[in-house]
Amino acid sequence: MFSISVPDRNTPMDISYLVAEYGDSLLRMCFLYLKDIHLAEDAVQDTFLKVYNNYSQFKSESEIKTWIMRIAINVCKNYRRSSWWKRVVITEALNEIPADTSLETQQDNTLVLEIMKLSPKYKEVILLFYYQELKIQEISQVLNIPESTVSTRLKRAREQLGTKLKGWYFDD
Amino acid sequence: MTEIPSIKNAIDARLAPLKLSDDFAVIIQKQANNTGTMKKPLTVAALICLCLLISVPVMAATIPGFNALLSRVTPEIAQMLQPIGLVAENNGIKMEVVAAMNDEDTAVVYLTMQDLTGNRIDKSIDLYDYSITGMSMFTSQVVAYDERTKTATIRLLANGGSELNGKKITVGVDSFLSARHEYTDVKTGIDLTAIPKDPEKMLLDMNNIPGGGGDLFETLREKSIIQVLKNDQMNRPLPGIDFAQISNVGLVDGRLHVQIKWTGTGIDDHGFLYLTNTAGEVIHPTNVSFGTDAYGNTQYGDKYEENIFDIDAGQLDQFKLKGDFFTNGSYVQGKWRTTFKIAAVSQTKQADCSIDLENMKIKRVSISPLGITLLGSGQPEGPADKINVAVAMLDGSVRKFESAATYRDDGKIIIKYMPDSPLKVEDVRELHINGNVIKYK
Repeated sequence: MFSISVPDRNTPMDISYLVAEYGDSLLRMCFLYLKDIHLAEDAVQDTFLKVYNNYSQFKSESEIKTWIMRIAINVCKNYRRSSWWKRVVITEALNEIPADTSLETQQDNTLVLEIMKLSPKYKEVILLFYYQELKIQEISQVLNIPESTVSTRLKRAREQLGTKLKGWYFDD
Repeated sequence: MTEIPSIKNAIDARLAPLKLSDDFAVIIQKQANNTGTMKKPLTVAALICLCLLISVPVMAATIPGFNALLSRVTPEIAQMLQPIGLVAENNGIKMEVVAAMNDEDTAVVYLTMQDLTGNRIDKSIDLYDYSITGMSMFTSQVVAYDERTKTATIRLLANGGSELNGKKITVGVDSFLSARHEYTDVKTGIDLTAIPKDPEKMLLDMNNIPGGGGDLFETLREKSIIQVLKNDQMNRPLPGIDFAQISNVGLVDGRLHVQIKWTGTGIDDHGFLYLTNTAGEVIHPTNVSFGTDAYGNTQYGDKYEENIFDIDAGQLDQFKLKGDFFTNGSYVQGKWRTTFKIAAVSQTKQADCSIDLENMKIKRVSISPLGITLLGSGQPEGPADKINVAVAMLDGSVRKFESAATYRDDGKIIIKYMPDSPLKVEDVRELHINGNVIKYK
């Protein structure tokens, strides 16, 4: 069952706190989703504008992260649907972000590339579960899909990632 | 359970240079103050409905796929649908979106899948990876199969919404299963009179599992940590099944636990255990899926399935342990996409009301060909099927509903009850909700 509730909230918003708390991780998530730094920056800006303009509708602190993630994912989806959405070469997009040449970085590079290659619906659940550390129930709220669907997508996404990353990030 | 921080850390480490500027929050505040509040345009559903009523028969005559669908569903149902007739072909398989319809909250899409080169599509076809943009899926169901042309007609039900009316949506299929094999009434041969009473166990975090089901599931989830059988303490094959085996059996907290290990490579292998006795009584278990890490600890996964039977151990000698198992012989991937504008259903009936149910107040009900929608507020406990909803038709028949879905949106609760085939709205006489009656004519 889907559950997103946003009753009244009268406490004033501290946008600086929200940006500090969630901004960088949102930017990185949007980059992995959209595969473009500039689009990711625009998406984060759009997300926080929506948060700022609609904050009065929130219920409690514990739901803020879930709600912000929902907005961010929907913004990213809208970007992908837009007519000017372009195909990008993932490796080139990632190469725009400087990195050293250590073994750890190469390993991290492989993980990031594999996540970027996932189809959007698998990428969403992987990013929300592993990166944003949301629970299945919260992801269900963010994506407005049943928890069982989230679980199924996670399973399939892990299977796809597991082929390349078995024994690396995944134990099974 | 070590992979969660490692993936997060790896992403943060590789993308560390990606940071928002220090004045980002100030920029947001300035932009927000310079921007007027956006308002969604009013929907023009009524106009779209009118157009649809006029256009359906004309368009239907020109689209072969739609005419074929007409022969498979009753004419009155087909007349409610919007003919689409868009085709996508890939990997020797043709997908055609034949017809679609959308109401306030639900969309139905009929599509056909035809194998142009082989026999990969049969009546057991099961869409595995599919989507409709802007919607979340509920179900896909084969409603017809033509042996001669190897064409399956499939109905998708999704949660749509009136804001999608007149909008472009894309129906996509990326993979499907077929050649389904069913193994029913499989005898496990487990002697239930000789079940270990103190088997080796391990702990399972119920907050880190992909899912499960059954009467005890919520109770177990509330415990957060439960005991399950230690995995792989036995390796008992199931007769005729090469994709699953029993990996342990024992009594835990006085309940019979039977652990299944999924050993096959099929992408959707699954099955169900049950106890049955000579009187025909059948007891279904609560089941919980989990995986294990390299050290034998439980973790998120679905390699194993713990089946927990809520039955007195003293009665076990009266029962046999059996199971039904399912696998698919074919998994086909491809890319089939079509984009079209979805239109609204032609008829809806709405009524304001005030019906108090347990922890929920229903304020409005609507009827469309796609089902019954209850709109209210509160915190209803339990699934939607605890509310008894039925429709009395003018001819005296009563329609009940096989499936339901609950949404929460902006403090509202919406429960949608969907029939197997569209409702004929003009023939609805009464709507019954837990004994409350709303009369329409």
